[in-house]
Amino acid sequence: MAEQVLSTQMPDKVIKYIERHKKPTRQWHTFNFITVLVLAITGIFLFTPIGSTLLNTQVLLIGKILHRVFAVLFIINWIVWVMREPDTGWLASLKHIFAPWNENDRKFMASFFGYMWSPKAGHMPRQDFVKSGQRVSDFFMYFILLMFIVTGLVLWIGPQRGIPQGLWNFFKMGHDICFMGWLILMVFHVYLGGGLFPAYGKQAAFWMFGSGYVTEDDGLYHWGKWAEDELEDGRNVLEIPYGVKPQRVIEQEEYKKWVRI
Amino acid sequence: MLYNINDVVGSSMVNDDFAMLFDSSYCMGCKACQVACKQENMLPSPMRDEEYEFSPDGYTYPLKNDGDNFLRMVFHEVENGNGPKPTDWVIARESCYHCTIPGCVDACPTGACHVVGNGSVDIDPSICIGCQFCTSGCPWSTPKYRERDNINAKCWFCQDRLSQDQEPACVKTCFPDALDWGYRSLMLKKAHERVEKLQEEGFADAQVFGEHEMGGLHLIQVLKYSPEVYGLKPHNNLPFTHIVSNLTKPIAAVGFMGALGFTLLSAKHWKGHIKPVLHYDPATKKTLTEDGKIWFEDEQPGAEDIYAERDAKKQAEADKRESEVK
Repeated sequence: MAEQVLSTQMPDKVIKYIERHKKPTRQWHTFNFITVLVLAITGIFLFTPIGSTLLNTQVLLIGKILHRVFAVLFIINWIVWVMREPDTGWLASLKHIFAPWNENDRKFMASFFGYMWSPKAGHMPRQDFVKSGQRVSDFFMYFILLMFIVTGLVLWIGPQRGIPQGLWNFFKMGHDICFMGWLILMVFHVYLGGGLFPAYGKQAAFWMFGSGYVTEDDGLYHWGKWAEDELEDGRNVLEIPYGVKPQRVIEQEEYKKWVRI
Repeated sequence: MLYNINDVVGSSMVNDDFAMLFDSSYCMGCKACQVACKQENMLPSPMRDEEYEFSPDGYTYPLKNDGDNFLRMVFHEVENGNGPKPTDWVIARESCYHCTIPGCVDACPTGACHVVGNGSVDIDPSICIGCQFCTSGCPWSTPKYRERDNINAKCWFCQDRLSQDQEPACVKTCFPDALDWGYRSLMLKKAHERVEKLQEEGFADAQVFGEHEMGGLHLIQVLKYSPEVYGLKPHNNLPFTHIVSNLTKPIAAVGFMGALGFTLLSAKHWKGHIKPVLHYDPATKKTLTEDGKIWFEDEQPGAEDIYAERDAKKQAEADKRESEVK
């Protein structure tokens, strides 16, 4: 890391931040969050008795249109992400999922649920950019979302446009199974990534929804190997005054004088 | 004709349900029932020659039921060994069977599919959202989507006529009396009597279809031959895909609550957990705690190997860059 100080006004107490998620990935995730939320809510209201109990038919029919519109937006969002970050985003994410596991990865996965339930004095093994547990979760998440798209499109096309009824029934079953899997997976995803998991703290939500930066301390504790590699490399590291958010540094010119790059 | 309750008082088979009886041995394939159904329900038909799709090997029309066709008579040919007239027409009725255990009602999320008091199964178009789940719940996939109105539709036994003490339109128009309407118990009784007669006449496979399927159908059929000849598939269970789909909902609810419970209950175990304050030391290239100790090496014997592996990798990259510059 080049130790070039850009300004003599650099405060004494500084904190290092490591860029974890780049802007296109964060924007994809935010848009994904919105589309999936709308799809889940409209889906629950349309395809369970909850909807007809609470809403009238006209509202449900609007919900049906919304479900389809947001399904299209959901697919477009993924395509845009692939186009914006062909190497570092989507493809990198796939590479991480199928990366070979080392001893630490196996140890992490074996102790993950115990750690989540009750960490006591224990700490998790060092991990790379995507932890082994999250690799498993991401695999199922990607698979489920892909199946959601395939089954949803078949349901949309329908038997009236040539889909055999038996196949349509099968894909409807698949759509329901996907929802079941997604719902359970999503509880853990929100708990761990949404700032509710005590070990990660509320700042976890801002790793993806906020600036995309993680503190040196958090990075080293939660990932270890990835953070060390990044700090050693220095290209994705910001060194900024304590109390200043990384997002401000990135967006506002006045803060850049403090930044060590 | 409509049967009065007085006709069957005293019979052990009396119940409140009504049913239609289709006696295939009387059917002559005139399709008047199809026309009556279209007229009664004001269902459109193709009006231009090029819109027709004729069956390549029979008199069946339309080729399939859809949102605008609730009923069609399907023509099959059976070889009878008779030289001058070697085939018999076997005519099957294809429409909703109005099951006692209706899969469509079970699958419908809005309650549009419902059982009417007389045992018939109806779809209320005013609350149908056209999701087509009823079709997936029906063992015979009978309800069909009508894209024009964004609803699913099927035979409803002309409930509007029944409410005015009239028979369904197809029954009313059937002049060979192949169709009949009345109490289900009475229809069954008539069906069995007719089957006995057919068997006496030499139709050994003659049988009643609809007495027990799906808890008992409200369309009872007298068959001269086995159901396979008519293309009829006896079903006694809801479709497998529908059963699995139904299971996913309680499993999802239990799984969701279980996962939520796990996360909420785990939170109380977190008291006392101390996260160390860590920083990276570029000089030693290691993570240190606040008091200067190397983080995690005691708990993780393999850590040194990882450091060595990383350093070797970085060295290799540096060597490669250097060689490229040279």
